[in-house]
Amino acid sequence: MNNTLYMKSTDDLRPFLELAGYGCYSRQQMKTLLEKSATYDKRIEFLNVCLSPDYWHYSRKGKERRFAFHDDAYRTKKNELIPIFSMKSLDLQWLLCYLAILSILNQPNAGKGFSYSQIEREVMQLLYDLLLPCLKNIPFKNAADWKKQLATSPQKNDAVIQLALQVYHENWGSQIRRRLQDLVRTGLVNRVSKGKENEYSLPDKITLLPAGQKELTAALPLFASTALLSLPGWYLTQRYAKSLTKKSQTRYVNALRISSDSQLYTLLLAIRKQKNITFTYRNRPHEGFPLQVRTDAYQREYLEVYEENRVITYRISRMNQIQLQKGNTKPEKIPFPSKQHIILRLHYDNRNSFHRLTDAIWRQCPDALVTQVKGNTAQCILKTNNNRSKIPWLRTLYPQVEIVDDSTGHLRERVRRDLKEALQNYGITV
Amino acid sequence: MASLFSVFKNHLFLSLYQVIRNIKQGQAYTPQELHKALYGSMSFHPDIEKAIAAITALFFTTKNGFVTLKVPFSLPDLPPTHIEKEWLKTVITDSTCQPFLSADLQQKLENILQDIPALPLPEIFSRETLQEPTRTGLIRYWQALLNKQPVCLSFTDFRLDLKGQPFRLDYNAKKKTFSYLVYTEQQMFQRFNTAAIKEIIPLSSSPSGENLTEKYEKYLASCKTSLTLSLSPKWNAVERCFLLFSSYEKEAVYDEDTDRYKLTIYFYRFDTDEVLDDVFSLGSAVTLVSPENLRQKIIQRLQAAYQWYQEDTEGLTDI
Repeated sequence: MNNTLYMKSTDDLRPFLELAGYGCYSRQQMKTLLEKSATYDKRIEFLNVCLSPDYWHYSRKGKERRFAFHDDAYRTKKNELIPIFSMKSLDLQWLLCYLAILSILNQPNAGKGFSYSQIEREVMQLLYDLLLPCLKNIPFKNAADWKKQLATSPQKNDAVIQLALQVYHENWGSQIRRRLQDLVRTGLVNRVSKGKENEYSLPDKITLLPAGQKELTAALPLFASTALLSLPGWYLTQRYAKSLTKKSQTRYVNALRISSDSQLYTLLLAIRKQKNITFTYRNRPHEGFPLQVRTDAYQREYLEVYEENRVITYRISRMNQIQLQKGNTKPEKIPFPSKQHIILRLHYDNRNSFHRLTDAIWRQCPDALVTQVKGNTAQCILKTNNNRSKIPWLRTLYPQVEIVDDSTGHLRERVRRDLKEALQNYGITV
Repeated sequence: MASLFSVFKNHLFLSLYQVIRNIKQGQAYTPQELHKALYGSMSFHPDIEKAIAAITALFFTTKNGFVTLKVPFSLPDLPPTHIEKEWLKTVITDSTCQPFLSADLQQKLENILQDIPALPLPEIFSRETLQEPTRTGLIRYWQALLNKQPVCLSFTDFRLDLKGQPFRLDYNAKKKTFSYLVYTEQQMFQRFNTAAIKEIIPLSSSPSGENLTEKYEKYLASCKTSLTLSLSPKWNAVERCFLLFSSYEKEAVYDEDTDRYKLTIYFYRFDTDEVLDDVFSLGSAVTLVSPENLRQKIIQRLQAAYQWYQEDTEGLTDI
């Protein structure tokens, strides 16, 4: 299945997802994200193939590009981007091996399991029967049979024989071994060591509780839509797709966050195994000890890495070629980031508005120190890791909050300029 | 290491797997039905056509107008993958998720997944949000929601108790707060923040039996409104805008000549204050173009905020 539609790795996938998440990256902007800008139209085509028109629509008129997203948190039941993740490239040889192995392990006589040599023999016979129908049920003897029988087949021009020649593999034995490893790694087949040889079997049937299904089908979408790592949860909900009812809605989650799921999973494994990671960031190589993942107010994901005796924060979706290393440089003591502070003046009309305002502040900054001053004003001191990162949130408290001063000494002037510019955008001169 | 972007989630693998199992169980497919089943939800593409042609030729043959398998594959149920089990273990181990699973289900899942390690994910919900009495309220509401049982809500302020049918649980991931969405006796959908609720008492009366989903759809349609923003290409405004309004239906128009975006967001009237706060949070990078009433609100708030920064305003001295 050599073609351009399917993808091999998530590194290819990420720019697609950014486009699907934002929907309106221009060709110019995509140049910075894609290796070849010429692929822009291909990616649009890809999204048109994968995504339901009920969710996504794209049109172009002259120099104007119009992207529409027709779903919202109140109505949708699933993650609309899931079909994009079903576009992993799949070779026919692989497909044949996977199905043949699972079918053989599912035989009633499989008992407690098969050795690798048994599996190989049975899979070879099954493939032989399938690919050389003219020889069906003639016992397969050895690997040389393939080439010989394919070359001397009386039905040489038969479409199936042609296809058999296409998918013919020089060494089916090694192909079967590697595909069996894939199945074991994914958890679809169990491997138990028995003396010198391993024994393979299907895992015990996990029904995930038909009795508790209603509870689980209700809770899974809530967890999957809220958890930082969401894709495995959405895969699980697909098992219950038919009985899925919408009992919850999650707002302010970012559809795009799915783009970093694969990277996020690798990073979580590195944190769990306490291993160093290597990665590239803005085309520069880095190595460090991963400490924790977290999100910001926009649900963007970040990783804190201990690197060169300090803690550095990286945006996960901008990290590439993440790999686990054998060693670790776990610090004995993690240095705390130095704190900054902001002094605010709070303006309010009455006690109720004062309480509403302070509740909003304490929800965001639980250690904020508020002292009433005089009249209807109060002072509030916030301690932050980064003063600038608080600006978007402080804007939502306009006009009840005024920035008086901060540890950088620039915040008040920055906010004043921003307000002036915003008013000018509305045609108000100040 | 297993990957989340897995060949076992490939749409052709999954649809072929299902077709083979269905045929084994006696379902009949015409060649056209087989083609449709293998396509799944994907739209037409020559590469998919080629792949389906190869799969069909390899695995199937047609007899009397129906397809049959060339070799009798006997495929098992596909079990959850290792990553899926790890994720489920992570979730059930997270104490903030436990209010949504009964103790019985929790125990059964723990038994099934006892050998599976959890991932070091941050807590799914905020621990502060789940303090008592909110936690008990959430558990009662969730159970009543699953059992379609009416509830009585009592409030922390002067409001009178209110009876209604739980319709949905609402989670705001930005504020990390839950709200109850209830269809009240007054036949209205109302959203209550958990902080405003003192107690929830499940009632023994039978549910109304009305189709609330249909009613809710109608209610949403009646509340739908929109606003249009003009975005300037600074401070990652485009990215932040799409993240902030990810919950809403929207339409973006990009003009290559001017390199500017216009974004129309379709939201519901009951969310107007939240949407306006989000617009504010983006600062001068966005300008609200329409509707005029919201534009005036923004201007008034900006002017009121700017007064504190006029030259003659005193700074630190008086506090």
